[in-house]
Amino acid sequence: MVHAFLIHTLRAPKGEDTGLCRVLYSCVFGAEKSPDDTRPHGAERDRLLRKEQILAVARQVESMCQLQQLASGRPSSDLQSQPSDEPVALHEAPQGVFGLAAGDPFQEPRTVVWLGVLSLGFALVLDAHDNLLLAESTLRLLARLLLDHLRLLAPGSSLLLRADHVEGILSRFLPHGQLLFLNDQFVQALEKEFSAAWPR
Amino acid sequence: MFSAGAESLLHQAREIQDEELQKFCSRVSKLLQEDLGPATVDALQRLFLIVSATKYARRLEKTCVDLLQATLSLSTCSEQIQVLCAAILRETSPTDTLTLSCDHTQNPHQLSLVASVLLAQGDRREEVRSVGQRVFTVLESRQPEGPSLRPLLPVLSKTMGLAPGILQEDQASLLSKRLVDWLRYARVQQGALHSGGFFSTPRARQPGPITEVDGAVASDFFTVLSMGQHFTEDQWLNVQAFSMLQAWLLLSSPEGAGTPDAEDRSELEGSTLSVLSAASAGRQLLPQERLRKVAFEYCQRLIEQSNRRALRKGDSDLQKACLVEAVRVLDTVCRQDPSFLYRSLSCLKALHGQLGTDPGSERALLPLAQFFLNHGAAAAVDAEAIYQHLFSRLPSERFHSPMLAFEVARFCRDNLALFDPHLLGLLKLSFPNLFKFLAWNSPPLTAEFVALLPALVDASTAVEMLHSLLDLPCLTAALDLQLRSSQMPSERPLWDTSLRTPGCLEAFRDPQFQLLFQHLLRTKASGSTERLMPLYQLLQPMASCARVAQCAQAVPTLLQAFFSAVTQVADGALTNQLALLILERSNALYQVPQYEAHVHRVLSSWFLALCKQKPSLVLELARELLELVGSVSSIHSRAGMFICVVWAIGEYLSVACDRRCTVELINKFFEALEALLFEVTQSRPLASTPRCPPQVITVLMTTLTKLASRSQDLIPRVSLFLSKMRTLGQSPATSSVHSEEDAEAIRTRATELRNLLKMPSVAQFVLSPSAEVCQPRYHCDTNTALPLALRTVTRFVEREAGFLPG
Repeated sequence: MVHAFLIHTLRAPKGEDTGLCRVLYSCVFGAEKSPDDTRPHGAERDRLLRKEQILAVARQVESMCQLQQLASGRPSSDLQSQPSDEPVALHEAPQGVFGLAAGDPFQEPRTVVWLGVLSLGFALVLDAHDNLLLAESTLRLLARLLLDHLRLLAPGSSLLLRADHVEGILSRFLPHGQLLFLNDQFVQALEKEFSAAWPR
Repeated sequence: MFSAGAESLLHQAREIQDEELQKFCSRVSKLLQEDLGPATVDALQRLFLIVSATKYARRLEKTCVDLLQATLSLSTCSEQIQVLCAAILRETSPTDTLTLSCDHTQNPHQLSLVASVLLAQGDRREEVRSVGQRVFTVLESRQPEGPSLRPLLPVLSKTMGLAPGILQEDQASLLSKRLVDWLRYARVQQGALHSGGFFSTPRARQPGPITEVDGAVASDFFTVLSMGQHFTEDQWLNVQAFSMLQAWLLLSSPEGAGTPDAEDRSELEGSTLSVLSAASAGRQLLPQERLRKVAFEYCQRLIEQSNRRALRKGDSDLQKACLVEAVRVLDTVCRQDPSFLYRSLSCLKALHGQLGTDPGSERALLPLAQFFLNHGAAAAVDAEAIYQHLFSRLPSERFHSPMLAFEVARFCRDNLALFDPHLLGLLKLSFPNLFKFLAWNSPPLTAEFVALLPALVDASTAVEMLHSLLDLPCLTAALDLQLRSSQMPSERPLWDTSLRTPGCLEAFRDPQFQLLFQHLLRTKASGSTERLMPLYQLLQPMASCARVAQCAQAVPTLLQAFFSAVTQVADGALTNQLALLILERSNALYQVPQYEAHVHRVLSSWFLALCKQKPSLVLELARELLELVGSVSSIHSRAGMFICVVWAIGEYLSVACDRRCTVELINKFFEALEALLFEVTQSRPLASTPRCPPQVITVLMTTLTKLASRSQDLIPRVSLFLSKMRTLGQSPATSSVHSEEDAEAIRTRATELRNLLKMPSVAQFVLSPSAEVCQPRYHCDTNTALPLALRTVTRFVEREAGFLPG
């Protein structure tokens, strides 16, 4: 099962952008068991830890993506916005997988599957023995749905104030982190449901 | 995209102050009580951003939190608002002030929303258990016309994943029964089209049959690969049931003895398989057993359906994912009930032949190999062909797929304990092929291979492996050339198209270098080593390629892992070979920027470690070491390495380390080092010679002193030399070579060493201590402590110096 899903910024490799990697959206499906912390503010410390874990994953994904872009010689202009009428070829977008050892940063060993689309990174944090092939296609599906429904390619749009759209999509296509074997027809049916429930 | 506007929005959200936030909370509370329209949505979206934008806790007003909790369960408001309320509460979790509970929630959709908040609390108050139990209650009390159960299964799956023991046995049986229904008995007609309302035609279209991925009418029961326009509730549950099947089978298998399944298992062990299936057919199956039977049939059907040619790309991708899952589920089923093994084998036998024809289908090879690894012995099936495919063909053909590379490395890592000696041997011999994954995809795979290397290291292939590791960037370049020369022009290029190296491509195709390239790209350990030096020059233009540079950065880490592993299994002869290899290869590396410097650092530290492990190493390699210290060029080409070697000579060339050490040998080394030191300090330096690092000079002086302390005839020579060193940097010839600080340091060291040599027995004690001196006891005892001895010597010598001129 998926432990977390996150969307974060991706900067071009060797770019002049000296800002930080920002997590734009994250959802942890069912937290790891909190340590028995009887000190005051234990809950806040717990939340801080979770946020930092997600940020650590985002940073690793960004560096993996940058390294892959450099290695495959794709020009960094790929990561800038492109005109919104061209469909993004998600099958050719940079993607990859890497492992996280136990304790670094999650308690259990986990695997991260990631996908880079223009200047956004999408990542799924999986348990160590999940169906990786299904996770990859689910991630591509989520990216496509989010790009389509949130029209993220249009200039000036942002997903920061539309997290409910992301939640709506996740609740149908990755409910509580459950990877689903959805064929095209099921996907279409779910998309129709979502469009009906959510005003654009 | 992430524009400046978005950045400033994020900044605002993070910087908002507490009282402003409380004001906003009151506004939100007001909106939630009055109106649940677009203004409320907007406010909730902003509140979500504020709460989620920072990693530090945000305290929300109590009334606001209570209203959010209440609105969450309100069935009259839109899904959008419910979802926002749940998301806000989830983002502030874990929190001690939550009063939300699922104890009275009946509606599955609401329960799902409430669960998403409760499960984020980190199980501080047993929320996982209460959610799980509640889901079960709703599941049991299901009414046929009630709301859809679809939201429930994922919640159940998640709670069981978080806390496996929450379900009692009867509840587990009930779930298994339901899963059997949903998996096997979902209807095979499409759902009815919803009528369009008052003005629609009264005659509704007859729903058509469910079809397969290739358009044919469904030949058997409904599965995830069945197509239709509209789906019914039980068909949806079929999809969800299969999605959670593997996890449920693993979680629900009984662990201890005394349960029915465990008894069956102990009966079945050791008996023939076909007899078993007949024996168990007679009695009624338990729910768990029925589930396994249905799971088996479902997987069998999926494997058959995966053979069909899908009309849509998305479905084709799904077929491959289903194939992987089907094999995994069969593996689990057979582990829990060996009576399925015979039928599974006949199902999977044909599968191997079909893999690899369609790109992407070879991913199923891994669960297949896992299956045979788990059950091959019991079934007496020779899975050799599969392992050969996995280790010999797959890496050479598909090294460029990062997902496959990762999965193969993980497979090897996770299953080492299950590999029998023959398979382990095959794995060890296939290391050159496996390194192709590593060479092409270094950033994600380095950690995996560092964990895998100890298993791959073998005394018989260690030398070859060290060569391969040092040549890994070269392998990356060669793989790139292989792709360029073999790929069809119509396919999307997998190599770096920004780099054009026609010269290298020609060299790759040149028959003159065929042998070397073939050796580099070999699939099995050959037992011999080829010197690839001609290739380094040929491939020089590719050294600036990003992929090659990334590989070069990974090599030092891999070398560390390699040496840590090999020193555990190396005997004396192998240690010598490795040390020689270090010396030889430190001068023969592919010139990627900074590669040589980093590799030298690792190699020199491990050379010293090898010497420490086997002190007689220096003596046994005396000839090669003499050659190394015989020429000044060693200093210039590999200073770091040189320093370590000289230091090792000083430390380990003594009778204490090896009884065979003779005075002649010490004298020979002495003369070579003395000549070298003379050349770098006294002779007039040419403008073209690079500056000799001061560490080289000091280590040479120290080593000469150490050798002199062991062969005391040499002391006068060294003392004379050291006194000459005291004027270093003060003569016009040598003053420009070293900076004042360096020259000062050298002079100080020379003086210290010379003083030490004035008391030869002390010098011996200090410079060639016996093993006991390294015990702490030696230094705690104030009568024998080293600092005390040195202080005494210094005072003595200074007093003496006062009586001597100069």
